[in-house]
Amino acid sequence: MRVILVEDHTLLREGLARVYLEAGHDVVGSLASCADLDATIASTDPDLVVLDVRLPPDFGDEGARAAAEIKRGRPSVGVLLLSQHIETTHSVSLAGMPGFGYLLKDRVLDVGDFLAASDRVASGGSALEPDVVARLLDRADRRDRLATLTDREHDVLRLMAQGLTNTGIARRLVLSERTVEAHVRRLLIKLDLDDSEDANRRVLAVMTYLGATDDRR
Amino acid sequence: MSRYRSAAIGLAGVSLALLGEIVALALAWQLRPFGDAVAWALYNVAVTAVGALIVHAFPRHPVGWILLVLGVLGVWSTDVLSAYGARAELSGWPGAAGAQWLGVAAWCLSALMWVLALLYVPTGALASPRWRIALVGGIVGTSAYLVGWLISPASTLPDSTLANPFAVAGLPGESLADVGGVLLAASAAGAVASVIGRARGADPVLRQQLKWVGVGGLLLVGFLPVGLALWSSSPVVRALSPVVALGIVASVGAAVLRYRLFDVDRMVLRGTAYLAAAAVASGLFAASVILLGTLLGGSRPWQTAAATLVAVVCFRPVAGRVERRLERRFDPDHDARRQIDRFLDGLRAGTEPADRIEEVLRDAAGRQDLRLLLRLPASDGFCDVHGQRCAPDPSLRAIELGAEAMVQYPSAADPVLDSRLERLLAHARLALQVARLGAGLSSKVDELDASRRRIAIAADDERRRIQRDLHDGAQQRLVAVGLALRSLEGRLRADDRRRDADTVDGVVTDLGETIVELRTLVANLPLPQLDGGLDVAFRELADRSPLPVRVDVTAERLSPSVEATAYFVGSESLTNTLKHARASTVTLRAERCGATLLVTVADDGVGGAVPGAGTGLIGLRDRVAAIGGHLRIDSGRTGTTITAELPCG
Repeated sequence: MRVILVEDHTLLREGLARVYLEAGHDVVGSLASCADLDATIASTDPDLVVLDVRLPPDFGDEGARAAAEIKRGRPSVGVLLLSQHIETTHSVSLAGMPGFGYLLKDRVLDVGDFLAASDRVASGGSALEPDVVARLLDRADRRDRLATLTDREHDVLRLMAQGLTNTGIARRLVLSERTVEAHVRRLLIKLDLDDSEDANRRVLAVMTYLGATDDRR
Repeated sequence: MSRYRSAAIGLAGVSLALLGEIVALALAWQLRPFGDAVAWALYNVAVTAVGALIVHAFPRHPVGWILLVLGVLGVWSTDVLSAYGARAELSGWPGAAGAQWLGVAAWCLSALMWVLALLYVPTGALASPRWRIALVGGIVGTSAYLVGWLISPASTLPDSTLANPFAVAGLPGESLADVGGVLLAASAAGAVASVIGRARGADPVLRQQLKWVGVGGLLLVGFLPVGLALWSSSPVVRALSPVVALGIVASVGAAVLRYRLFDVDRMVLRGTAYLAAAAVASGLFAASVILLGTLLGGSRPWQTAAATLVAVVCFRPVAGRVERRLERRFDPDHDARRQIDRFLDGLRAGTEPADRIEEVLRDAAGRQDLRLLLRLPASDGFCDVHGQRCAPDPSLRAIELGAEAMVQYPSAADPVLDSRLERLLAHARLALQVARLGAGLSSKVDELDASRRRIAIAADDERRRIQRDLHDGAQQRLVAVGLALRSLEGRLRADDRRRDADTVDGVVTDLGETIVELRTLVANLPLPQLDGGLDVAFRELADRSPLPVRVDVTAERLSPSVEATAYFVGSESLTNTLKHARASTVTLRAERCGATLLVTVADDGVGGAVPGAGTGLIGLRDRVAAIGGHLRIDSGRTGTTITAELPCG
C-alpha cells in the first residue's frame, strides 16, 4: 500500500510513518501542510492519503477541505481523516463515500485496528469513529425505524457502520460468524436494505441509509 | 528695544512727571485750591503712566511715546511754569511774567498730544497716509498758535495783570495765533474723523479697540456741555473734569493695550444708560425746583432738598429701565441669554433633557457647527452630551469654561465669538453641570457594558486558547509518545521480551485513556464549535437532540461574540426544554432583522419557565446582556418561547 501522510506535528508524522513502514507499507509522501499535496498525489499515485483535519496555515479545517477535494478529483484514492476531537460537520458529509475514513488520532495507538482500518479505506471501504456513528444512529428522524432493531442488531449495525467485516464484528462481539451473518440479514430486512455479499457495498448501503434523510447543505 | 530699557524709559518719564508735579504743588502752595491742583497733577501723571505702560508693552507704538513725551512736557511746561510764575510774582523772583505767559500758552501742547494720539490710536499707524495732513496741520497749528499768542501784544492772562514780556509790536501775532488755532481745531476734527473712519470695515478686534476709544469719546461728549456751562459756577464740575480726563486717557490706553476688549460693549451700554438716566434725573431736578418754587414759594434749601430727593429716588429705576431697553436693542447676547434661560427653566421643571444643551448653545450662538465637550467628573477625559467619550480636536478653536466644559468651532479664531461663547457658557453653567453629571453617568454605564462584554469575549478566547493548546500541543505529543512506545513494544516482542512488551503495552493503554480524558475535558468547556457558522453549529445541536428540532438559521457569518452568544442561547434553551418542558417539538430560529440578530427557541411543552430555580436562564440573560442584547421569556400554560435580541450592526 502506498501512503501519503499530511500531518504538521513532526513527531506524530514520523511515528505514523514508522507504523506504516513496520507493517510493510510504502510511505511515498510525508507533508506538513496541504500546499504540495496535489503535486505529490499526481506524482506518486497513492492508495491512501492520511490527513490531519487541522493544518497550517490557519489550523481550521484545511485537512477536511483537502479530503473533500481529493474525493471529488480522484474518487479511487482512499482518504483517512485524523482529528483530535469529534466534529460531525465534515465526517458526516463525507461518511457515505467509498474509500473514506474518519478517526480520532489516538486510535493510532491500537496499531492493529488502525492498520486494518487503513487497509479498508484504501480498498474502497469505510472506517468511522464510533462516536460519529453513534450520532448518526441517534438522529431523531431515524429513531423510529431503528427502534425496531433488537439490542444485538443495534450493536451489529453500529460496527457495520464503523466499517467492520462480519469476521471483525464476530471477533468484537465474541459471537460466531454465522450468528453475525444472521443478525446482519435480519437488520437489513428491517431497514429495507439490499443484502450484499460484498462487505464494503453492504457498509455503504448502511451509510447511505443513515445519510439518506440528511438535509444538510 | 529690550524690555528692561523700555521699562527704564517709562519709569524715568513717570518719575520726571511726578517730580514736576511735586515741585509745582510745592511752588503753588496756598496760591491755588489744593484739591484742584492735586487732581490735575494726578491727571498729568496718569497720562505719563499710561504712555509708559504702552511703551513697555509695545515699544514701537507711537501712542505710547506721544503720551509719555507730551505728558512730561505738559507737566513741566504748564504746571511747573505756571506755579513758578505765580510764586515768583508774589515773592519778587525773576522771570515771573515769562513763566506765567509760557505756562498758559503751553496748554496747546496738551491739545496737540490728543490730536496725535487720536490719529494713531489704536493700531499705531495712521488710518491712511492722507491723514498725514492732519498730523502736519496739528504740529504747524500748535507752533503757530504758541508763537502767535506769545508775540501778540493783544494777548492777556486770565487771572493776572502782568504785561506780556514776549510781545513784539508790528508783527501779525494775533493773526498767526488765529490761523494756528484754526489749524489745530481742524486737525483735531480730522483726528476724530479718522477714528470714525477706521471703524468702517474694521476687523472684530479693531472694532472692539475702537469701542474703547468710543468710551473716551462718550465721556467727553457727556461731560463737555456740563463742564462748559458750569465751569465758573460749580467747584464740583471743576474738580470732576480731571477725573473725566483721566477716564478718557484710561480708555485710550485700554484700546491700545487691548485691555478687557470684550467687556467694552457692556461698559458702553452701561455708560450710555447712566448718562441717559443722569440727563433724565437732572431734568427732573430742574423741573422739581421750578415746580416747587412756583407752587409753594418756600425757602430755597427746602426746594433743593425736595428736588434732590425726587431725582435720587427716580435715578435707579430710570437707569435700570434705560439699561434694559438699550440691552434689548443693542446687546447681541440678549436673545441668546433669554433662550438659555428658557432652557434652564425647562430643565428645572423636568420638561427639557439636559443633553439638549448642545443644541441650545448652537441656537443661542447662531452657529450650528459648534461642538460641546463636557469634562468627565473625576477624570481628565471629555465626553459629548450623550456620554460618548471623545477628545478635543486640536485643529479646532476651543473655548473653555473652567474645568467643566469646552466648545469648539471650525474656522479661524474669532475673538468676538470667543468672548460671546465664554459669556454664554458662563450663563449656561448650571445646565452644563447637570449635563456633565448625566453624561458622566452614562459614560460610566457604557464603560461597564464594554468591560462586561470584553470579559465575556476574553473568557471565550481563553477557552478557545486552552482548547487549541490541548489539542495541538499536549494531545498530539502524547499520541506521538504512544507511537514511539508501540514501536519499542514491537522491538521487545521481536526480541522475545514479552514481559517488558506487556508493560509497555499497559503504559500505552494508560496513555490512550489520558488522551480520552483530556478530550472529554476540552469537550466539556462551554465552547461552541462555530468554525462552520451558526447555521452548522445549530444543526449539530439539533442532530444531538433526542427531540425533533426544526432549524431555521441564517447562513450569514456574524462577529464571533454574537455567534457565540447566539449559540449559547440556542444550546442553553434547548437543554432547558429537554430537562423541563416535556415538549414534543422544538424550533430553533436565528434571523437577522437590520442590525439585530433575533434568536428564538420555541417549544410546545408545559410552559411555566421562569428565570432562576436552576434553569440557567439567569446566566443566559447575563450572557446576552454582556454584548448589549436583551433576553425575553414568554412562558404561559403551554409552550415556552425564548427570544434573544442581539445587536450585530
